[in-house]
Amino acid sequence: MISGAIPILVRRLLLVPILVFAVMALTYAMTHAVPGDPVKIIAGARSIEPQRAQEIREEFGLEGTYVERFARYVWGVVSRGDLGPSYYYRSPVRSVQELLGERIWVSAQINLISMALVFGLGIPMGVYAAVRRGRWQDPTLIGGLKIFDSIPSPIFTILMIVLLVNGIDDVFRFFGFNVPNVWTPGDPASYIVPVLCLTLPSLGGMARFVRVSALSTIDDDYVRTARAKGLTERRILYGHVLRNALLPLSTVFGLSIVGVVTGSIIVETIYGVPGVGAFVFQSITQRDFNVILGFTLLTATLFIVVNALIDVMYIFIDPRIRFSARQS
Amino acid sequence: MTSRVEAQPQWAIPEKSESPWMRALRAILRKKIAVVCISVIVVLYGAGAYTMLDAFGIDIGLQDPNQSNLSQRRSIREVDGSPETLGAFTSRLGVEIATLNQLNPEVVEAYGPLTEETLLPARTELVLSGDESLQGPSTRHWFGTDRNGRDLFARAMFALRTTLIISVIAVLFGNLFLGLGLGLLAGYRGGLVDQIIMRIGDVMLAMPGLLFLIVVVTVFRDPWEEWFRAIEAATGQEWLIAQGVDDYVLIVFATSLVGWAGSARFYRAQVLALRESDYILAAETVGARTPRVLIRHLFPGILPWFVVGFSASLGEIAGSEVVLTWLGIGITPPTASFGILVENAGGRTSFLLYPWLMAVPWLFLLVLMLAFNLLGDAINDVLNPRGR
Repeated sequence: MISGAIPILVRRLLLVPILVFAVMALTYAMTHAVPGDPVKIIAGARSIEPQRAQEIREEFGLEGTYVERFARYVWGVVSRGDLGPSYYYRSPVRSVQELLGERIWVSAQINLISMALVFGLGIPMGVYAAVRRGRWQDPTLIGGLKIFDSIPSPIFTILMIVLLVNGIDDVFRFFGFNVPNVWTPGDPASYIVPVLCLTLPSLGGMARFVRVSALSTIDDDYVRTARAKGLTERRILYGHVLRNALLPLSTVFGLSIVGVVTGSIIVETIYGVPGVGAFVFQSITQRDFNVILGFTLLTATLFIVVNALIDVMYIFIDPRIRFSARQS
Repeated sequence: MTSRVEAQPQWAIPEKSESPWMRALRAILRKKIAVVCISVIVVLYGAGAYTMLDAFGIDIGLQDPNQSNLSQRRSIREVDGSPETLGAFTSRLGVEIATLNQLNPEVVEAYGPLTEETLLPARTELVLSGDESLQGPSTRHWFGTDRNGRDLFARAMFALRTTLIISVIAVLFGNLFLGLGLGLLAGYRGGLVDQIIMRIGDVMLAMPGLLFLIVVVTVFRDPWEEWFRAIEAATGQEWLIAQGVDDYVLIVFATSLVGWAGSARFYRAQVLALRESDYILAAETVGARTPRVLIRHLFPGILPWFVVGFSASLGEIAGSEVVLTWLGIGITPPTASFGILVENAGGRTSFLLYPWLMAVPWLFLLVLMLAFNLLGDAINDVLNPRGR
């Protein structure tokens, strides 16, 4: 049964290392094309003695030609999982993977909660809109959610902070949460602002996605058959429509997993969350290019691997893909 | 009795057949929401286009968006050992004596009402203009003023110009030229061309979006300005950087570079579905060349999706300008843009004290982006009835 899928499977998986390498080459080229000699950035001075410059070059693996440096970087990543030293955190020298590792947990917590909310609320909302198609509830819900993703995130975050800290803070106080106006370590109420800032703008997209994919199956013949044989609407919806309609959601799910690790640059920076997103943005202003390089590589690799896994999964779940692979 | 046989064929051709596009346009215009959205977009973009007249030296009746209305003080000068007359003072600085009377109550109290001949001691400080910074909305400043006393209404109008220029060029270049062009080419030609385009696209798509955008802008920021200085020197057009053209082009370039892959992949999929159609085969049989098949035969087939994508990305790019500028790598200060307005508005405490600073860019962007979003939906409903 799987025989037809093997070539497509192999081809898909072979693409993974090639893509990762291409991403690595591209990011490396870009971060090293940035104006400014890394040695000067590290030393933090415009002119340095050749002696000191040589030391820095040796310490940060910057000696040799461009190709040599790139090869050394790739070898470090592949053999030891070493993303290189940070240019900025130097006493003591910290490696990029260490710095990122310390910050990923905060971002991941916020993003996991937000992801659970987006899926937990977005799917029912989308299904509801699809079921109420053509009535007032559908456009009201879908259009209403659109307001949230029609605001650029810097504005949205600041407005949410104002709203939650100075507007409806009594609601949260009722539940025993005192929403702080900036991230406070150890205070569980700190999660409220960033989680909502990430959840609300994504809800609309999720609801629309679920609605469209539910609508595309709701008129299918097999649904009519189910109705004809007298099943209740509830069973048709849960047993037949949703089982197929929610399949495409696995792609969205996979991509959200990548988002869990990457954090959010804007929300974290504005609210002062010590997460990956804020750290990466800070690294850009500090010209700490090894961090940017390492982070891009990490997320891109994750993205590529997850995408490949999703494709592979589809090959097993959806017989139509196997079939078309065999035909071509 | 003769029966009159009418010589009317059963399959009468209507005298004037309406093209499908006219029919679609009619259907869109029948939707109230679409008409509202189109009007909103026309008004806002129209305002942006109107402020462009300013670049040609035409008076547009708006305050200069960069003119600050902060309080100014000047002191009476000494001319040849004796103080200048107030008449000389006012003509030197171009202010009205009536304004000075209003703004300097203490001086008036001490020396009586000021006239042209009034002689004030040298080095007397006179307030020339009132401090208009951080005023709420009023009839003089409809949207209030910012920290430097700049008129927010004028700034918002000029920000619309920035949004108009950036979004239209970015969509034309990124979505139409790169996205649609490469998507059509890859889907139709297939083979090696397809492989090359789509594999490059895969790499682009794998990069984390916003971060990639930031890196691209950071990498190109400095050389960009040098190139533009070189262009200015070569062509003699000295206004390019002053009018913020370099920023516009950089943002357009970066968003297109980051965004083309997604749309190219999408259009390619549509082309793959259409490529096998009989009418394409027919066109090829008659000997139509690739560009002709692409433009005359394939493009109309994917136009509905293109229109929807076009509308959505116009709103999206207006949003990413704000994000980039807020991060400090988009539009740079002398140019007014919504990102700059947001940046100047400050954070929470500032919002509580001067809410109009944030409300102005927020409401403009909300209305604009919502209009594009809803219009895209309305067009989608009309052109792709299956999605309903």
